[in-house]
Amino acid sequence: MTDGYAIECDELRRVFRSRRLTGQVEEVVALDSLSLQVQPGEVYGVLGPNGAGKTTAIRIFSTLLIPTAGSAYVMGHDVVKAAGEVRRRIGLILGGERGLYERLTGRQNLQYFASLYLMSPRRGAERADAALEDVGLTHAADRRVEQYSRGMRQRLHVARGLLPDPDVIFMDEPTIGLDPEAAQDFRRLVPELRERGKTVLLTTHYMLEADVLCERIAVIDHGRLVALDTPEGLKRRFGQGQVTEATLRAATPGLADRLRALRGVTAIESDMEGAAQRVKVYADAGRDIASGLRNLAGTDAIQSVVTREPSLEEAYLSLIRESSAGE
Amino acid sequence: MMMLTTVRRFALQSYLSYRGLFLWLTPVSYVSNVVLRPVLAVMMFGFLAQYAIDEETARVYAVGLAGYSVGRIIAGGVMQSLYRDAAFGTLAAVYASPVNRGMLYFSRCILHVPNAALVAVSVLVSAAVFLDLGFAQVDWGGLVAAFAVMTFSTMLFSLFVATLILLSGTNWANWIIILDGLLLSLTGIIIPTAELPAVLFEIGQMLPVTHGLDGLREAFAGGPSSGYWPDLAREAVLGLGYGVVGLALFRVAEIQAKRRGVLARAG
Repeated sequence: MTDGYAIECDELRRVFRSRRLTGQVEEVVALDSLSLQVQPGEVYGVLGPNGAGKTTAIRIFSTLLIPTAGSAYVMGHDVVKAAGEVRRRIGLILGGERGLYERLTGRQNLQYFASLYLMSPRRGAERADAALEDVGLTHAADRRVEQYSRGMRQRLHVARGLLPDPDVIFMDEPTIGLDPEAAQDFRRLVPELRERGKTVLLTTHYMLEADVLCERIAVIDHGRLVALDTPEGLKRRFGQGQVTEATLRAATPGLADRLRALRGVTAIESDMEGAAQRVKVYADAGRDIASGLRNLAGTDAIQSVVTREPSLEEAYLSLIRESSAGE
Repeated sequence: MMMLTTVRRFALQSYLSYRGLFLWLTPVSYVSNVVLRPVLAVMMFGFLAQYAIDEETARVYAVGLAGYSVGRIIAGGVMQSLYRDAAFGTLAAVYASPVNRGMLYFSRCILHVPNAALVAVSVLVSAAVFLDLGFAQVDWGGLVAAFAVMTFSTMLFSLFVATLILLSGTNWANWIIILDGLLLSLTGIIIPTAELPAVLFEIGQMLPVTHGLDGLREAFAGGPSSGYWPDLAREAVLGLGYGVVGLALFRVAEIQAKRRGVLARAG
């Protein structure tokens, strides 16, 4: 282990045990033999449905949770045996409403958290100001956090994670609750961090975010790694065939059934948007679905039609469906 | 230089965690807990003693209530602070950081000292006003030392109890009710400890305030310093013991939280 990787784990397993009122012990396997390696300076995404084990993995890497079995290292340090060394090198950004002192201002919160990273009060104040600027919260720095919106709190979480200027940053759903503008600002920040040599491990439910930011993406489900590739690689491998999207000026009864009968069509989605009908046709690669659609609905009825490769979201959904079917 | 930085960092952690976690800092809560509650306690027990027993007993109660009120305000403040650190989710940041756990642990109690001083003054002044408590005999050095030692021991005892709250995952509000009852009934504030059944007497000996109160009464009566120092020493050693055990348990609580995953959320 620790062959120069920034983050790595081998056969990592975490089981949560809880006792029911009847005395029975219930076990939930959150991570099941997870192995992964992240290169220094890489932005690495972890995708998976709720309960897949993403947060559990981040908690283990950030020394907040002890694994049941297996090993995990950050910058070459064992997260259990050398937890102190790990903590000096990481920043942690957790999503959600908790984790901040409501009655303190944003600046005071950051000054406090800086002190946890052994910074002198003066250095902490400087880092707090820089982090507030990084996340665009300077204008609200002296306002109590209880007056912050959800998006502002999330930005403060991000600032907190950047405070110690860490080598490795763990981001657990960092854009949750952010408005589109703030989310875009955040997405600009991640490449900047990579340019500064930081390693980022990011979990998210926003596929666009993973697609744009991550060099490689691990998809985990039921605590196991089910796929690992670049965003393009995942789309190529798991995004089945091609997708043809069309908007029809009005509803065309029976169109979905007739499209389903076309050769090479694997699935159809159809919904109404006002008076217009939107149709999404999944088909084997190379099929000319657009022509078939024009024949069936009539050229005049079609407002727009486009054929494209599947998105990361479509590849991800296909992968998760496959993984669940194999359970 | 490094030492100075450490001290300044400790001061910053003490100040900001106090501001962030001690929710009695709003004017109404603060005045209620630090001034009104102790004064009302003096009025209730003092007037009751005057009516049912005699004026001298009322004054003895008043001195005892000063010790009790110090313990009560410290316990309430310290316990809620550590409890809220877990409840607010900010304790996870501590557990994920390289901060010195001992320094952080003790930073949670230090700024409650001024509250203890204010409470003691509130009780003694109200006892002077309502119960005609006299101060002519008082050994002021001994009195201040007694309050200081009781403040010290109750701070460390409260941290110890707060750590038990972390370990048990229970609510501090339930524990303060129990602790309030124990302080009031077993430490000699109202009932002399010698009059307690043997088991309760032994429990009382393990509680903060008990020995300190003996010393406080000695100093208040103007007795020789040899009369109160042994009591104050016992009180200080007891507090120190709770401090050491409490810190060890705080580390256990951290390890347990990481083993059981009580800080984790789903995902």
